Amino acid sequence: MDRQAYSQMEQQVTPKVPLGLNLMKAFLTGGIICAIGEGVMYFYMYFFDFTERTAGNPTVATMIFIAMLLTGFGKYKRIAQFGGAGSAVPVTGFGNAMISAAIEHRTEGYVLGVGGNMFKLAGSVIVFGVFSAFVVALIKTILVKFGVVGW
Amino acid sequence: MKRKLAIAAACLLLAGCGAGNGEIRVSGGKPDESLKVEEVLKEKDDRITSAVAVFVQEDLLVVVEVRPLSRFSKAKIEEELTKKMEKAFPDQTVTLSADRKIYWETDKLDELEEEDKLHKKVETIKSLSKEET
Repeated sequence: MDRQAYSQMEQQVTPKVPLGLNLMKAFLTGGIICAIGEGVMYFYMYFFDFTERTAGNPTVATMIFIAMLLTGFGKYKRIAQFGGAGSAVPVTGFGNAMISAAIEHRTEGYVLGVGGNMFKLAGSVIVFGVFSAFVVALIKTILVKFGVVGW
Repeated sequence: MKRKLAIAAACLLLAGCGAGNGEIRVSGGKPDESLKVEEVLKEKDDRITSAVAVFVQEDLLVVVEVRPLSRFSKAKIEEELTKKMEKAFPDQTVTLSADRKIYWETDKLDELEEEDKLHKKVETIKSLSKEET
């Protein structure tokens, strides 16, 4: 069997991916997570002294915390199975990636296992975020120094 | 299940339609000042759903509620309106915001009667609106 025949056969055998359905599920799941986030944001704005601009930070922290708890209790994987990317793209996916890696490597000990592998997946997100923020701040500082834009 | 969903959807729809009463309320100022505020805000009426303005001593606190799709350009609208307000009221210290929290807090100011308390509250709201992080 040559390569072409194999790939043809493979395409015939592979079950068709229900793309439309998956997209809709991801949209629904992501939307519901974001709606909950919006609710948490309103909670912080209503009961504490946070404005729309500042309420984002505690909201993100709360959402990540909830996702971490759900991951620990084994509920988040059900959401992920249903929603796919819809559950991975919002910040909740970050908490899930951290805790699931920690749980996976629990048997290897607390330092080398949990500590060493916790940021295996989420670490790149943090590094990328911090570095890109640094670069953007650098560009803005230079532009302000030259008087192109104001703070 | 389907019936429950239908009821929930109807409630959400009704709640969504009921939001935004589209009024401009001014308190604490002279009648001509209130009219002036309304005039300035009316020019941009297509993007603003409702507004509250409060005159307290030297301060003029204006909060507007922006239409959902115009919220993306909230900062720009704030800037434009602040400039206009400052032009219309050169003697007052104008604080303008399109933030929802500031809107809620300013909306509550009506209940306060004493000038001292009002002034204190306005100062708190002003510091809130300046917060960055």
